[in-house]
Amino acid sequence: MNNTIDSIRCKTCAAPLALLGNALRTKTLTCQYCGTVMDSQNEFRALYTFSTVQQPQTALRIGLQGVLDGIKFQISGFVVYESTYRGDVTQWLHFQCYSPTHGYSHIIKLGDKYFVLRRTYHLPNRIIWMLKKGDRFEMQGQPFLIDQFYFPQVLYAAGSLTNTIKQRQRNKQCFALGEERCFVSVQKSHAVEYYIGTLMPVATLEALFSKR
Amino acid sequence: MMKICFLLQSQTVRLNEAPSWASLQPNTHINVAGKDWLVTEQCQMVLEEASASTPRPALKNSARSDAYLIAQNAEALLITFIDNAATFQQGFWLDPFEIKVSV
Repeated sequence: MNNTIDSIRCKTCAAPLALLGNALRTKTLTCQYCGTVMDSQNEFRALYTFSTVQQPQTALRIGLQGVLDGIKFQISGFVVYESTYRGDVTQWLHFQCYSPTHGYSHIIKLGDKYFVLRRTYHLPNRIIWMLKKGDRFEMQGQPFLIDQFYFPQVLYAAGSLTNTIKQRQRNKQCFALGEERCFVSVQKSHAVEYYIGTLMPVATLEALFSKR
Repeated sequence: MMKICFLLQSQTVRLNEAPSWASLQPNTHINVAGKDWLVTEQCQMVLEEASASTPRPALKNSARSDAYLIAQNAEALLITFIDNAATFQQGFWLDPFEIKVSV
């Protein structure tokens, strides 16, 4: 007998929602239609509702499948971040993509660029949180230059996510760029995470994720 | 990513011989047995239910605190605090993309 639940109805608007990603690691499910955030680990109890509900300006959608490095991944959710620094507003999209055999990969759309990232447990050769914009460091022998430190807020989220998404939640993030490479670190209250990835042309990436 | 950690060796010490779990905040650098480590994650769990086949039934309803540390070359150190003991498990993180299978 198959006891797997693969979809539920939103606790607020009753829209059908697919349960994607790793059920053991998913913490929140956010309705794409009304913005209600539900606790995946507590019988999908409604937590709060995002006032801003919008589709991101990208061809990537929750449920689309694509092949990254020869492995099939499915987009399970995304977060829209916004950071303001000295009047400059920066927005980016962070997609979580899941493979049953290879876990999560991440896609970040920053401006007109896509980066495909994996979490890494290798350490940079310098303590990046002690550095500043423009400083250099090396990661697995590759040079990176710190592009910016952000202190973003979550504008909106949708789908199944492994983080506990909270409005007005701010986790410090570091973006660094190398030659066709990208390094991201996120500092949370209980963890610090490192990601490393590659730059991918918009058309190439969106063509990879084109079927459900 | 999927967490795959090969744990190669384990050692249990009394709590007073280990750093406290509360002091192992993320981003803390710490020297353990002559090696520099970075704390990447802290978590606490309470075991609410255990099946009859659980190998260590005494752990039922007990609290467990973990701290994950990394060093160069993705070396991993998991420190588990249960009751009056701390267990150090050392190994390496491995990304499934790094696994090459040959026949």
